[in-house]
Amino acid sequence: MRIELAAPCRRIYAHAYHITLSLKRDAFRLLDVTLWPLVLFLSMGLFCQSFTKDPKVIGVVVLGALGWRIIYHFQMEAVQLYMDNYWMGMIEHVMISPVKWWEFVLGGAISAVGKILVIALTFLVLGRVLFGFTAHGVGATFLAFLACAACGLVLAVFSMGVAFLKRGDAFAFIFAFPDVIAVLSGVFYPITVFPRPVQAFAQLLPTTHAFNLLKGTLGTATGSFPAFLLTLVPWLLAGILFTQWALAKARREGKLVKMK
Amino acid sequence: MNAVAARQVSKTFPGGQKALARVDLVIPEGAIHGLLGPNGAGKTTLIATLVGLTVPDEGTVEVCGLDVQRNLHRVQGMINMVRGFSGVLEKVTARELLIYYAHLYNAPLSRVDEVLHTTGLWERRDREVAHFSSGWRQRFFIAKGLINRPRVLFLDEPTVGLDVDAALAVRDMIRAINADGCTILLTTHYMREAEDLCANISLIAEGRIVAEGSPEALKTLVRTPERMDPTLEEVFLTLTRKPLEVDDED
Repeated sequence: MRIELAAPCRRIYAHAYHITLSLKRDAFRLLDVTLWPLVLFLSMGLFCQSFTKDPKVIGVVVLGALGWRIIYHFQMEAVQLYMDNYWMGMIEHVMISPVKWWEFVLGGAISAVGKILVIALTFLVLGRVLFGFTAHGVGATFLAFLACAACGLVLAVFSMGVAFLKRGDAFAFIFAFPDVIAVLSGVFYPITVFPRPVQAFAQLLPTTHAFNLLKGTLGTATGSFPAFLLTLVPWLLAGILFTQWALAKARREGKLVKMK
Repeated sequence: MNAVAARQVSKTFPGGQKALARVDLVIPEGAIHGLLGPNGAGKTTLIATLVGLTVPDEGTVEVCGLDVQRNLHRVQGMINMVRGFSGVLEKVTARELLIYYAHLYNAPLSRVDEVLHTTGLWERRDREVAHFSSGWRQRFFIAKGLINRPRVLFLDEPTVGLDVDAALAVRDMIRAINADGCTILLTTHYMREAEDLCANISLIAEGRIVAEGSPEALKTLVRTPERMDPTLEEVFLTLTRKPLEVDDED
């Protein structure tokens, strides 16, 4: 029996289908779930192991690297699809369809889940074999990963807005966003290393609280789910408003079509 | 009912570039309507406005009886567009890419095979579109344009860069699509093509519709004792190169 999906579900699926096709056909993109995350994981892991065998430190590296990849993929997949269509001169064929901007984000999220499963398996197995890492509190760890995914979705929402506005120039901004936020969120260290004004700003970022939740499972930080939600929701609402405004502006300025 | 009704549509892009100035365009259902004009005349901007890819500063646009801006996604489900200079995603076959579009338009997947047959692409369905010749690539875009059984199809220079055989094949397809009841707005630089296909033609220059009518009616506009039987090329050159009056109200 064929299951008929509602139109928005089919469009969301369409985006995930498209990303999968690109991944399958482009060996370079497979590096996104193989070489690039492994370079980060092994560099950080081996560096820390050369100083300490403390399982908490190794845990921060394994979970932090994985948490950051979750944010990266949930952000990047949607924008990558939009930019692929833009660069190939096909964006008007997508934007003339009844597609809605948030369907890119959710389609990208489906693809992100697939990629994260591969990376998580790699990290957890290698973490166990190379560094003796064992996850504690599976439920709490999973919840913290979900928090990272939610942060990635918020970044994806903002990034779609930037893509609508900046088109071909968007990628530099989109890559810069998560890297700057990674530094500010204290993925591998406490934000108390920052001067007070920077600490205050970092507390406003949901990513900081998501990583505190993650580090909380190792006992190296105190995570607060209400604090995470209190920072996430305003950023999400701001992202939605920004991207709606950006799409309307891009439409007004003719940026959704490549003029001759 | 009119398939397309644009009234007093004006559009100026950031930087002050005036693309459209009080354009009126009405296309009855079932017609093939030509939109001719020199490069930069506003053809693509007008199409982008009609399909909702951009927004007019002034005026209203209705497609299939619906205001495009107020019913954007509903209208977009009923229309489609083919452009003569689109790129294609690499490493994706014709069938795979059409499945993507079928999902975007919520069209049944059986429609993919139908349009592959209609456009003669069936034998090439599992080849990468990026490797198609320009003629086959254009067939692919027509297949994509038909995926949602559009009521109005916008064809922006669909035969540009095609050899004679490929262009003739595309023109035959345009006639067949129209015979199935689809209204077509066609922009082209080929006057013979417009004359062969279009019941009515609008000439656009510097963002204004400067003349409109059947090819024969347009010819009467430039008929002189010295030139009793002008060609459409002569009509085009005469009317689109005519200096436009400066509108003080703008």
